[in-house]
Amino acid sequence: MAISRFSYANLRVMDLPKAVKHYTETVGLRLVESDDQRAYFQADECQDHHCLIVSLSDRAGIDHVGFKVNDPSDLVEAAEAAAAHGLAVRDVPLGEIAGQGPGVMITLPSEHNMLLFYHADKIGYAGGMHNPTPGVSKNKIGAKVTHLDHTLLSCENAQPTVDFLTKVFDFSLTEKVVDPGGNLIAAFLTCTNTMHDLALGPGPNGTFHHMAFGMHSRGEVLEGVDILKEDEVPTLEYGVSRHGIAGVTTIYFHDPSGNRNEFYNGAYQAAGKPDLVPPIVWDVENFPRGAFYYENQIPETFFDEVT
Amino acid sequence: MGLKHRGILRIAYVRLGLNDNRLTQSLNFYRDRFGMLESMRDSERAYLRCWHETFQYNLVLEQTAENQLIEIGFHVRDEEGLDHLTNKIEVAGIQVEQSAANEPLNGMGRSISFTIPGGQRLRLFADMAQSGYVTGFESPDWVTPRELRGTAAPMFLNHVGLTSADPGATIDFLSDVLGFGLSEKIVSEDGKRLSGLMFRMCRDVGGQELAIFPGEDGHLHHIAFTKEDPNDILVIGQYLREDGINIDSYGPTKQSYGNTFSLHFFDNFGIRLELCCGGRNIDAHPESEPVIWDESELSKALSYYDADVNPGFLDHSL
Amino acid sequence: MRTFQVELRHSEQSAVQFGCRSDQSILDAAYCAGYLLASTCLRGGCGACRAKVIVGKISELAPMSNTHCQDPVSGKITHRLLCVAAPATDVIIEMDRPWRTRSKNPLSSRLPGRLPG
Repeated sequence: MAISRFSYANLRVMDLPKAVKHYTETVGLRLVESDDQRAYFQADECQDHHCLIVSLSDRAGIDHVGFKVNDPSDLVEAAEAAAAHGLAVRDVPLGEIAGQGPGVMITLPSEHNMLLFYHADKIGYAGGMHNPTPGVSKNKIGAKVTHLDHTLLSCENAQPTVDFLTKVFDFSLTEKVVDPGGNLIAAFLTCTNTMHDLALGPGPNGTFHHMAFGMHSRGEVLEGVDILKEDEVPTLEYGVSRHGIAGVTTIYFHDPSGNRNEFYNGAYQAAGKPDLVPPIVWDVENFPRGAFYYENQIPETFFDEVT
Repeated sequence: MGLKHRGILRIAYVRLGLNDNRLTQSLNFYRDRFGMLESMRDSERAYLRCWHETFQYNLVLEQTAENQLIEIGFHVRDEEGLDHLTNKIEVAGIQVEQSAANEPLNGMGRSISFTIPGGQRLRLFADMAQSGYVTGFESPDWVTPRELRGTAAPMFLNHVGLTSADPGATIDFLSDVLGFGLSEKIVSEDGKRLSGLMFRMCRDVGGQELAIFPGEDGHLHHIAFTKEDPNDILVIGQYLREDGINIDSYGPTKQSYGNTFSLHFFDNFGIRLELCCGGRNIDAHPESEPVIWDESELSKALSYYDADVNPGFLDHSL
Repeated sequence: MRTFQVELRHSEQSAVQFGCRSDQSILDAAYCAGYLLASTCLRGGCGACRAKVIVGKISELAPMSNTHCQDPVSGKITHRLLCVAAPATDVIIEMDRPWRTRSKNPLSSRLPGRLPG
């Protein structure tokens, strides 16, 4: 039928124990399983096996992003459609990635790898599936993230990837940033009813800008900032802020390998069909207000530095 | 060739009939104090939308002899999907009424309507006019418009609660025929389904577009609207009281059932409304599993902050 | 533990020198000396503080992402990331980005009669 969710990001890290400590004790994810090469994590309010994989590497950055489809036959259809579009496709057999079924890996025009798969093993919500206590336990260590919300990947020209994802994979474009010549600088895409599941921004092809963890309230984002500061996690120049784009409460910070993370709260709702609602358009002049609403400027390192 | 989401896209609107001369009382409430935008008026009706919404209406008010829930509208992806659903509903033995564009409501393409097993009427359509974002489409300020501050200023229509004499049959119809997912359910000691939260949309304040409760067929339990954050809801509770609006007994609470932070209150016709934020994280996937509640845990499910469930909360309100 | 001399160079700026301990990042020592180097992640990942060591040797306080250290064509290590680099000898470093200076005593420098510093 279609892609049903942005399921997980597989990041590369240079120090696995430090990454495990960061994503559990600071970010507040559950460690699901790990070995000496990889670790799998899930947030409290998700029932699938993982929302994050970190793999040991000699560099930081993104290995691939995982999206779940809601019909097994979608995998064949997606692979054929991607191949017809001239994109590299390979089968990922069962067992290559723990906690999920087989899938197809597609290399997007932006040189990012996107894995589509159907089955995820279930670990349930952190509070259980039967008469669960709501909210987050008082014994919980780390920030109160509920789910992996979205990721922003960087590339030299977002347009071909946007065209592919909207025309072939049924993503909708909710907001975009354009230069005076009308060229696309950044694009915010959704395959569900949230404001964005996947965004594309400027930078070298195949690089990773950030991934965002959702929270249930603005207050929990602020609490999250206190935890970051207590744990001496580097945050971006502007502590907590608001994005003009999407109108959400946000803070950026970095994992121990320099991969950018975000805590995020917002309730923006998208219609769920491409081209049904025209996208919001940000011009370059207003882009600083779009990126950092309060500060109305973008630090020079914000888009230059990606992993 | 390519992947495509199909069927029902989104919950669109609730249509209420009210015994209200020239809609004076209802507009005084929904527009001026609750804080919805008036998109359109015709001789019989007022069409209101939430401030973050681009589609023309989330609430239709019309003057009728008796207060009633007329219908709930759902937006379907395309005409093909509308035909497909028409066929499925008819095969299920339910009569479908076809309506031409702009009949009976303005700003809508052709539509079908039918009565679900619980007795409420749904209308499906593939095309609705858009008013556009109140902020405009160019470099907007995504903040509550100044003229709505001090009101509830809901961002979106979130879900509608219905009562049903046979909740299991209603849940089955919504899942099997209309393609809804089940995010949570409440079961009796002998395993009977008493309540279910049904969803099509996967969003931040998600997990339900229709909430089925046990009770008399054909009635409305409540209408819920989206807010961003519990703090907004607490502050709005004060605005509502300042305006003399009745808060439902037991005030704001965490609703474990649906995993929202919620405040319930009444409009001036006694219709129960809800402001909610948070919401169960779920995806529209055949393998997604519902949360299961035992009836014995009802107070934990519906009213986590209170010692017990307010018994009045179980009554329908229209 | 020893303290080494660090000299920073950039084509648009006059060179500056300061001391840095062998267990301290060059970025941190620069900050203490009143120089703000471009930085973002402080974790050896993002490349904001990348620079070339032209004289001397550094040690790695934490792993550096090869994305920003390697020459993309030859694969040779050409750059180092100063947020996780400590000096192992006296070093001279060519910065990719210019630095800014910061006041070390921003409050007391505002007292009447004090020179800014």
